Amino acid sequence: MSTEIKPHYGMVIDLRRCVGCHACTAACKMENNVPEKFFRSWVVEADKGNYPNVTRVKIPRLCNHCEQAPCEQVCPVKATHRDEGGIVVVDQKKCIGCRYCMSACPYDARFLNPKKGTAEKCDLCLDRVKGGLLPACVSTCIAHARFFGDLNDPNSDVSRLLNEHPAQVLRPELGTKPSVYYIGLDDALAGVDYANLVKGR
Amino acid sequence: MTAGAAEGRLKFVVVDPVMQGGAVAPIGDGGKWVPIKPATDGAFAMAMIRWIIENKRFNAAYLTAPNLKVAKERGFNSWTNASHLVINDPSHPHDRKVLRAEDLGLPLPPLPEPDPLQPAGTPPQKPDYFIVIDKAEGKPVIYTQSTEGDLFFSGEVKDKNGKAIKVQTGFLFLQESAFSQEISAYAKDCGVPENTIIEIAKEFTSHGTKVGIDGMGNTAAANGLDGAMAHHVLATLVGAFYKKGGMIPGVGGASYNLLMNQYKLLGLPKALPSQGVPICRTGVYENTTEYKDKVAKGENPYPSKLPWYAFGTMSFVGGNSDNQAIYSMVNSYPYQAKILMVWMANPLHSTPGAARNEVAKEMKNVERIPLFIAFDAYMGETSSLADYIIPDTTQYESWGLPFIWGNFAGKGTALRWPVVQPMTAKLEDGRFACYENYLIDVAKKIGIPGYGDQAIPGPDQKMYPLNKPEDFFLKAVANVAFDETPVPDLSAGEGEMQDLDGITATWKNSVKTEEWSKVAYVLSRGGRFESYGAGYVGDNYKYANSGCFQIYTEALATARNTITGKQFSGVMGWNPEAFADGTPLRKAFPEEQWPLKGASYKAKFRSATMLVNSMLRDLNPTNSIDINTNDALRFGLKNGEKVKLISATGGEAIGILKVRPGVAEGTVGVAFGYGHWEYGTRAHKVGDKNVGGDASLGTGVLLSGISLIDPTIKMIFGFSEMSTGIPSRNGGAYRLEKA
Repeated sequence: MSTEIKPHYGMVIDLRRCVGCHACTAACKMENNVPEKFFRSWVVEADKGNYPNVTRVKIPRLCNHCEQAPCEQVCPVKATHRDEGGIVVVDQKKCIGCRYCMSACPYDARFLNPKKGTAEKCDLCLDRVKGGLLPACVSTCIAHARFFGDLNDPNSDVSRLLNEHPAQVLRPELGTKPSVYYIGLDDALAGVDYANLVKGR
Repeated sequence: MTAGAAEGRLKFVVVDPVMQGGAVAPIGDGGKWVPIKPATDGAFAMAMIRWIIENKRFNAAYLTAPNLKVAKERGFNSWTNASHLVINDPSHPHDRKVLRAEDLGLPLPPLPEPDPLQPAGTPPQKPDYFIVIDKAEGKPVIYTQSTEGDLFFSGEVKDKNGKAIKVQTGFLFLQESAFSQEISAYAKDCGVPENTIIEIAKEFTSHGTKVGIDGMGNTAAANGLDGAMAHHVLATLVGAFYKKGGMIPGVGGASYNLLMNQYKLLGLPKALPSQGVPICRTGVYENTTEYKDKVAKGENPYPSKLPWYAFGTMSFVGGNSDNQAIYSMVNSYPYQAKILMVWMANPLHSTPGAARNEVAKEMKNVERIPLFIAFDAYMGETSSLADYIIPDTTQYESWGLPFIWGNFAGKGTALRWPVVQPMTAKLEDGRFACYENYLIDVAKKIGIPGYGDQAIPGPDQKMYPLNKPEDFFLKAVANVAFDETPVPDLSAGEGEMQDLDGITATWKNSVKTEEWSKVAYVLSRGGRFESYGAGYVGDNYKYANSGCFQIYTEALATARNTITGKQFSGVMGWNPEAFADGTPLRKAFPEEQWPLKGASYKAKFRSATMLVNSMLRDLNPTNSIDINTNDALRFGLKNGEKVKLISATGGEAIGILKVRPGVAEGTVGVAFGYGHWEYGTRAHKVGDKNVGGDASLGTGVLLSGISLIDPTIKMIFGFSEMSTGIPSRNGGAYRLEKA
């Protein structure tokens, strides 16, 4: 008897391909009607190196959908929970806007929706995924730098990429086990102050 | 490109005063940023050219091919005039011109067959019979009759009377120009180390024809022709044009014929020809009455009051210059603009040097411009000065068949059709207010042919109407659909899936019933496109133009700077920025006092069409004044502080300083699209409604508002390139102080 393995949705971002166009940021804002001045998906950028040997770091950011998600653990009302494929979502009806999750998240992935008073973040476009579509940021990426799929399926794009290329996650030392992997992250971050990268957008 | 670099298939360098960072990443070694001082691309390129010539790294097989036939036999897909002879003899009436068979009295080949596309009876255009020194025969031969030209010939040829004419090849002119300065001196002028330039030149000449070079904003400088020529001259030195892995020049790419086939949208019966002198002065000064009157009076015809651009009529950039039109209109020169119509443009804001009170005041002055009509979906800076503003439609409400640019090698024509009902006023007949409807209604009212019920000749020789925008655009779509092998009909299922029937119900009568299903096919796909990769046959681009890539440009060599009266060089050179009368910029404004040159770059998601969208505005809510880390130390300025940017010819702007290593030394970078004072920034009353008044729309700094004006011209005039009229968007002279 074979047991069916449940899907584990994740993303692989190939930093070698990203051109920092921010189309993902714009598509996410439109798709999810993200309030002004806030972002579910964004790109951090920084110059790297000493003049004239300078390059530009570009790291698309979003919720990491951690397997050990600190936000999930601190939510007093269980508003933050798992949906299909392990996607971390916030039940807008249950959320009381206490902001515990926002301070617990080491990735600055969450914000308080000023109109609703509830916590909000990337849900990997759950509605689109359930409808058989890709997340908006993946569909719109002009450089084919973003890939979405089932990390438990060895034939998925994401599994294949992780097999072929070394990839890293953000802040692995925290043990959060993110589901978002980056190809080339170590090279991109070497010598860059991470703290400067996550705070801006 | 990033994918190719990641997979090790290609390498690239980005030579730019401001590192935008798109393709340049810290991962892998495929791409590199090379900082350069603004408006010094000519020095960089001439250093490369000198190294390439000195080290014989040019593609001799390509450059010595005297014509397209020979070049093709040698595996190329374009040709050049590098080996053609040029008259280098001030005593000869055709000095500076390319030598022709007539100059030597050589027998001419028979005239070609008449062009079948020209109306019957049109005399065939007489070809130019250029001359090369044929390598085998060692004597002058018409270029079409030679199989190899001598690239380095310099000497005398005899005319039919035996009189000597001094000539040399165009290539030698380029060599002389390149050798006028040491590579180390070019390196110093552009701020790129000599070994970096040599490394790039070596790499550029190491891949046969599989290399490319291109640019965009770098050509917008008071010496921007250098930058523009650098692209085609370097690509020509290796024969890269129209080869796979090489270059496809021209912004348009290959497009389907949207003006002919079913409906004749060009050359309408009784249509009036365009005539007269463009107000932007892209014409020949020596043909003007001003010039002729001065000569008749025995006066020196130079200077003209404002510069004229004889070469501008030939070049893409200057063909019609909105920038120069602004300076002409505010000075009523060469004539008064009686009626100004501005559509989908904001030249007051975008023209370097124009966004200043002196210019705006004259735009409003009815003595200068008696009638000014603007067509705009927004209250733009230019439109705000108009006597009448006709509300226009946005990109979501209007039609268009835009070029596909060079993103795709195959043939393609894109189509934009209204996806929403316009928000402009609904007219009594159900149409909406917009530019096209205004033109149609005015044309009908004053009786201009080509509008109304009997307007456009159709496939059956009957006339078809032009009473609404879709009458024109859908006929163009029909032309595209029926070009070459017509497209298939749209299947019923597809039409239903896209709900095309509902959307297009009112459009169907703009084309013939039997055309509709093919028109709908093009509508459903947003245009007509060849399949990917279809643009090549083997290694050759199949839509290659048969025109010559000029190393020596006769039209440039015979044109003059109409202020000094001096002729331009026929070959590319390094021309440091200079004012109209020839005064070097750095003589008037030395680097010690004005240490910075401007670089205007594009922010992401920032344009007139996106400014209205608060979500997109959120991505880059304001800009900054960007300088290099070392310059900040030198000036004693800190990241994030408020600074004043001061222009050498007057004008200043206050903004926030951004200090980063990703800007070249000696450069001040400012993103374009900020510093608006209209576009919703200022409050207006429309009828009894208050609109606008959101100050957050006007944040940031506008560099073109303080770009240099030319102090050597008596009238108000933006600093410009003298052969084409390209405005000084980059370069100039600036300094910074604490605000």
